[in-house]
Amino acid sequence: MNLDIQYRPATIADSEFLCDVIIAAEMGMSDKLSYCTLFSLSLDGARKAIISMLQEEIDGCELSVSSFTIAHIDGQPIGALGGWVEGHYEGQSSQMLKSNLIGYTLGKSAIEKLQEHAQMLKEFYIPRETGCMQIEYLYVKPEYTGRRIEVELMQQVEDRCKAMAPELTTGQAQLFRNSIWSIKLLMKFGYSITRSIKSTFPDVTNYIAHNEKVLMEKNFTQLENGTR
Amino acid sequence: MERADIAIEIGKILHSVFKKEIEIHDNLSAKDVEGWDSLTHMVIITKIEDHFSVKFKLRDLNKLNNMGNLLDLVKAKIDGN
Repeated sequence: MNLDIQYRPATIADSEFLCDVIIAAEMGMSDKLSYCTLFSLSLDGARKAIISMLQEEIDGCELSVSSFTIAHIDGQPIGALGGWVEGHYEGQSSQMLKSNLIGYTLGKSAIEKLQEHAQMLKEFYIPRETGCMQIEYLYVKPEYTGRRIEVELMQQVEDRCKAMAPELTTGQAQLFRNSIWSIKLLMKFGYSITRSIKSTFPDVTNYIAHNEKVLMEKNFTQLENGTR
Repeated sequence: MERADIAIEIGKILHSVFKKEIEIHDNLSAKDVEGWDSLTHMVIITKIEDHFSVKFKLRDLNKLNNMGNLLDLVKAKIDGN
């Protein structure tokens, strides 16, 4: 059966769906949601916090509504992917913007909780390069997978970022190593793993989805010139 | 409180966070200080809010590009602007 799947930029009205997207993508193949484990929040508390952060409408990070492209059928969202150009908005790094959002929304006690895991988190820290396209949080409802929606979302996000920054040369994505499905998809799109960090903290998977994080990159110029 | 006095107090806060002397000047940014990552940034902002008994707006925080912006923001908050 052919479905009329359309694509559009997300709006604030999509906040609840985007929250589902973020939670599903964050958890990946695990049962760990870092917003719950690191900040001692219930799932409901994490949902409220994520929705609040999305509704602040801050541009330029993975918690920005404007970063997301939505796949929908008759207006009903069925999938989404986030992507932005790092530092595009007033030069601010997405990691600082996200920190400000978390600190502002969750407050001092959450920051204190986060500090308890500071060394573990810092070990996993991969800076996002200014001027590069960043991709985060891909999700398609299970009943709609296998219809190339993921591929179309990737293309739409890439096109949006290139329209925003025509000089764009590199795409980057940070994923957990167990996100096999997403890694394969990115590879099909020309991304390759350029860096890997394995945690030395034995209990890391008590808090986050996996003990290994990878950076995947794609050079648009090389691909366009056929030199890859 | 004068801007220069605010700079001295923020210098003390940064010293307590980084355990070393940080020279405060208007162009200083997070990129200039080893260890000033996103997590440390949250801690610094919270300590500054506590120390000066102020609460920053999210949009103000997102406009901070350097120490000069931060000093101006703290001064404006203290002055009630």
